[in-house]
Amino acid sequence: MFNAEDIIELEKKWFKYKVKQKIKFYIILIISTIILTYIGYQTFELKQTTQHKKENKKNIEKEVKIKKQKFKAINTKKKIINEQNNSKNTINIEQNTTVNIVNSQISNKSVLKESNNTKKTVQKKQNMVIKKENLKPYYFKLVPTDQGSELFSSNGFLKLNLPFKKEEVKERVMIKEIPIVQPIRKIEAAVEKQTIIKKPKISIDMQEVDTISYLKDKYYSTSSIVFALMLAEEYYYVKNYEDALKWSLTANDIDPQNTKSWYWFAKSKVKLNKKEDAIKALKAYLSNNNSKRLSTLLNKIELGDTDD
Amino acid sequence: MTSNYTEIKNIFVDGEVFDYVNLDKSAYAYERLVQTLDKPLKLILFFGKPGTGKTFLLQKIYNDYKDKKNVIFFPRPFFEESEFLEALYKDIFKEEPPKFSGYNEFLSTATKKLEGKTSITVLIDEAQLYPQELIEKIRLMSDSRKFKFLFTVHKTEKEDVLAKDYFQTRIWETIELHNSSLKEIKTYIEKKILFHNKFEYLSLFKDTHYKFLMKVTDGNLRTINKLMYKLFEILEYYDINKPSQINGKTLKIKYMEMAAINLGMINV
Repeated sequence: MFNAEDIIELEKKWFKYKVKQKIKFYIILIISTIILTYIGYQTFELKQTTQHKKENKKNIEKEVKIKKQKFKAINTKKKIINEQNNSKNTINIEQNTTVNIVNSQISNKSVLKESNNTKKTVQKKQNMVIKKENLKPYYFKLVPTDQGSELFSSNGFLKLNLPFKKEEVKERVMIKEIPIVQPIRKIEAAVEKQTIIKKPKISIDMQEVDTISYLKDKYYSTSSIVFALMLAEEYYYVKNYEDALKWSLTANDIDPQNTKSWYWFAKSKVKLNKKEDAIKALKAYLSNNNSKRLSTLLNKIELGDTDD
Repeated sequence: MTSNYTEIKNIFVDGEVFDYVNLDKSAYAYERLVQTLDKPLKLILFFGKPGTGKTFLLQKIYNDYKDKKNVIFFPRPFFEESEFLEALYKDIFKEEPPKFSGYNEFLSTATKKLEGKTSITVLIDEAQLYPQELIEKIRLMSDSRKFKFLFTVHKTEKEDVLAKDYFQTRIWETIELHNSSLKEIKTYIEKKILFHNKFEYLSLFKDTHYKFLMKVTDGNLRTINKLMYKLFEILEYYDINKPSQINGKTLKIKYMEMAAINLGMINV
């Protein structure tokens, strides 16, 4: 039979055995936890990387898509413009030349004179009706300098038309410079109705943001008027008229004779309930230049027809 | 000072034949051994790992058949030829043996005396301890057809090889006794306790205890007996000195672990 000492000794041994057993268990538990955590972390990281890759891929695809769309849009616009130019050319050929005499000082006195007979076709088809200013008659012909890419230059580039006599023309040219279209900003300053443009609140969807940011990137890298105009147009269609105005002004700064900058400026002004500004600006442009598009817009604005 | 556990610990002391517990594996081995004893075989090898119950089984067969057949049982090994021959003569003829000059004299005397009688079955336990020379002579005795021998051998890895080399060509029948399974351990303990009418102690043991027993003893019945004895010895101490610690219905595994530690079955 056991005595007390034996039992105490045995209990001590048993306690030691239990501690050993539990240490083994806890070591195994800790090691497995560490391994599992490591595996879990690795898996999570792998997932994250895959997700990022996917997102990047999506973004690239999106960007490519947008670029394609924009490229298409530009091509379409070019096509339309070409068509328009073609039709204009046709009209020009048919009618030979339309000469408008612009009266710089507002006067109701007008005298009709027969157009020159320099070209045979003109003689055959029709006589031109010429509006002539009493005091200072000038003769201009509106010729698009780069019809293929109207966006890159102005429709309103002015060229001197052949007058009745070459010498006279030369003289006039010497005396009177071709009127240069003033930028809208200057016109606005003159009008003294320029208002401070508040920063717009952007409330447009992701697609538009992407398009706009893409166009902005392009503009800042190229400083091309094309992108400024496209931005004005883009902002106009997303109803951010203040930004549309801003970008039309930017475009106008690059090329004051570009009709499109005047066009989007006027349209944005109308939308911002500043119809008078729009009318004044258009009139100022049309006083020195001729643009069918802008005169049509002016008429529409005056009539109160502002629908797009 | 006695305890409730003093009596029950004694039922796990080895060596009592009447206490033999009939397990599935031992029942099968018993059946086969009895059948082989009836066959005209000369040498039979009965082997198994230590503690599987070989000796108990031999004892049971001897007790069951000693009055019906000519059965002799040698539980302890002989290391001297003369001692073996004298013991054999004494057990067969129930008389004091004469002084034999050698093996041949014994064989001729015995053969003459056994003329016309049925053969003698000799159950030899711990046969691996017998000298090889004596084993050879025993084999020659079996050739006379007057003796039939059953060798019981421990089956350890080394001894297994030895046993094979030793008996390979002469053994006619081999019977193996395997270690007990978990189920058999459960049956063994339950039968032991019930056999001694200690029903109240049955509820002490649950499956956890049997699994622990299986784990530390590997189904070795002798080791199980030792562990159970030690367990009840520990419980006896607590019952007398700290009874509050063991008043639960189920036995704490702690005491079984303590018994195993004490017996060196668990290394601390």
